Amino acid sequence: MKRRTLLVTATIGAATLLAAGCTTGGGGGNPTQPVTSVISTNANHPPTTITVWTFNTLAKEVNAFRDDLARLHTKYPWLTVKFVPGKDDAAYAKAVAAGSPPDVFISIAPDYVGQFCHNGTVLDLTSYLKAANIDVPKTFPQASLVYTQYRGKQCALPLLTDAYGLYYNKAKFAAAGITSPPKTYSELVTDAKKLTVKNPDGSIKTFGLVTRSDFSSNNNIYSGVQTNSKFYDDQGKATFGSDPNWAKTLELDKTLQDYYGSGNVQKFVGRYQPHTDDASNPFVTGAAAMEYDGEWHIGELKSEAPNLDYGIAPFPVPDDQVSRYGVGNTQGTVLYISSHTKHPQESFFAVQQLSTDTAFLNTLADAVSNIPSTFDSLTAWDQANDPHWSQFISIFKNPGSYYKELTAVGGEDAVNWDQFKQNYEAGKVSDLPAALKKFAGQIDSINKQANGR
Amino acid sequence: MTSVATRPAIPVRGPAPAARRRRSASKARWWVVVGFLSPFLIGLALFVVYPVFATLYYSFTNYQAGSYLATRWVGFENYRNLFTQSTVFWEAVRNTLWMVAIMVPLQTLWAIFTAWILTRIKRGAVIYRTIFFLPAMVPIVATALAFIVMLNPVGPLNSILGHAGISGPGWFSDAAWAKPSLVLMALWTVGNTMILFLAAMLDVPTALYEAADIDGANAWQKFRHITLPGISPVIFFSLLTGMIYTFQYFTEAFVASGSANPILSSNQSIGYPQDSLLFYTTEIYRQGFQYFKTGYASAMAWLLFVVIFLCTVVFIRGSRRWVYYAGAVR
Repeated sequence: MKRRTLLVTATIGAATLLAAGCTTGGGGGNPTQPVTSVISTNANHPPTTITVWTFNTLAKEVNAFRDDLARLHTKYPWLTVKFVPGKDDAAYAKAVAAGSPPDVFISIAPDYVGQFCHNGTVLDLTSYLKAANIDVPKTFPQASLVYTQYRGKQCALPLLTDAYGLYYNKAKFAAAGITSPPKTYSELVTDAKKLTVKNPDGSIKTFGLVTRSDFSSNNNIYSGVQTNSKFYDDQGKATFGSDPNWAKTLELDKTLQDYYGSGNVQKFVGRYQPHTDDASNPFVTGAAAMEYDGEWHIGELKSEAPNLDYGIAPFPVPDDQVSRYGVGNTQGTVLYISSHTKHPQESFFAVQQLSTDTAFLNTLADAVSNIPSTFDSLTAWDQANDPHWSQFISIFKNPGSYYKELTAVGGEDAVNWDQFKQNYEAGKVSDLPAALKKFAGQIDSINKQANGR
Repeated sequence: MTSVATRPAIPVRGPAPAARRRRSASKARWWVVVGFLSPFLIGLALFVVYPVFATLYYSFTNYQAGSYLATRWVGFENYRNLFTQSTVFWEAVRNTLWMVAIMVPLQTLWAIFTAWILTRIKRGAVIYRTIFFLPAMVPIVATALAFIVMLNPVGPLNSILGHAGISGPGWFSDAAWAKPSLVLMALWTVGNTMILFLAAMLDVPTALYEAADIDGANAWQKFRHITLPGISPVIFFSLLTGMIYTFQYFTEAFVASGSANPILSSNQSIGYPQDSLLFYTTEIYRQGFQYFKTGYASAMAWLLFVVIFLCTVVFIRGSRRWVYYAGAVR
């Protein structure tokens, strides 16, 4: 019996010690020293292979990358890139934990820039950019720097960008006697009501605009940019309880939902949620006169409804902030370099090519219907003067456009905000100011835990 | 006669040679057994024992997958935060308990009912048994996807309901109907349990029913006093395994949420709609693999283990009052 007890204790002890030993960390942060010079990229550079992971899976996107990397290899034969598509943030974090991360990782969204930067998972590229003589503010628009910098560190670089706006059906606007897209929340409510067509049985044939937060890309309406609200104040405290503007967009949503009837909205969301990007999209079928979406939707509409006559405008702002009209939520794909890469300089060289090469950015932008992410590529892009694309470029360049602040909690704060909105829309929140205040406390709590590491 | 000289007795020092041979042979056999078992033992140690105790250690740390910050021992902080600071923990607990309380008994009742129906069928019993059992052979993900198609708000079922003048609900896309939709799916796949009940029912001695007939018992009385006690061990098994499975309910909910809201990222779609499909294990997944809070997720996992263990002990102890074992020595 004693031997058995001893065996069990020894097993537990060994497993625990092994677990303690197998956790990464110890020393923490980024082990790579800042650089002061760039590598020589001439033919004398020893052959180097780096691994690049990306989230992309669609053939046209993957091919655009492969073509560009092949061009890069032709120009710099010493550099070989092993390109691996179909990897998400979770796969990347697991690879880091296992001690075998790729040299470069391309993520679909900037949700984890703050977390990876805080945890030392990725390189701070500031010194690399300086050594390569890249003037960051003059290369990348401010809206894309907001979601690639964390506490003064440039922990990622933008690779194309997304902006969000209001798509509207011109024929339906004309039929309803509306001459221009709405600029304020009041105008939006009035127009949405005018555009709504109800059936005799109370059901709705055409919705003006469905703003329910879980539908399509609508969660970005509530990111705070429309009301000039920031998730956090200067002290890093959540502002949901202190900034009354947070309630304005929620109230706009409630006004419209009450007008349509929550049952009708539920049917709309249930029916069209799986079809937001295909030919059954409600904006295409005529079930919605307006919709909120990202710029990539232009590409979808081009193939699904080439004859649809539609316009694009910035999403409205509260009535008392009309001077800010033109702003919008922005975010995009980001490039990271793993902090423990054996080839930091070579990886940066590849990242530099991918994030600043105008020809590549414009080719990729055409392939995936995104906005090029440097000033040069924006100027050179053949779509820049297209009436649809120009609206999104304006939103992207607007100094009032931004993405929510990045923190060490990664995407958890935004997901919790989504849950709060859904509870509010479901009628589970009776006292909105009090609930927002309580919610702010919860967000502060998860940030405290993350920062306390 | 030849006299046999008696030799002086050899003093005994240790086991006799035969016993020693037996012991060394037994030792050799032991090593052979261990040798043959070693692939399994190594696998068990690497993939079960180590991860289990590693998560126990992690649950007391702030370990985050993918982080290069030093891991810190935080004691019971992760466990404390679960109860005091998590915004969704209790929602996940409520949803999981709802499924345990509603889905598990309904599955058992439905399995008993279908098994009972099958005992009544005289012609083509094998065909009907096969038909009823077939859904249990379909992989869970395929079943979930099939139900997502069938229960689409504009899908086949609502179309049929529409012809009957009934406006069908949003099923998986409607928070009020999402869990009942999963229950419906669970009832469809009840074949495994049904087969056990069918075997148990057919095993109840017919003499008992004949005696009840002579006593004038009606159908309900026969079911209540003969069939139910006869199949009570299977009811116990069904409820116990169903409870354990449902506490760890994951795949169906994960697929249903993701399919109802394909445009959201996976961490946003977990629990969709409105957290109605947020279960304990899906929340563990999100904390561990979406937020990379490995220590916190490990604490959640260990808490679940303790709860399941306690519920199992209580259930087994309580079963002595109502489970009847015909061959048991009392």
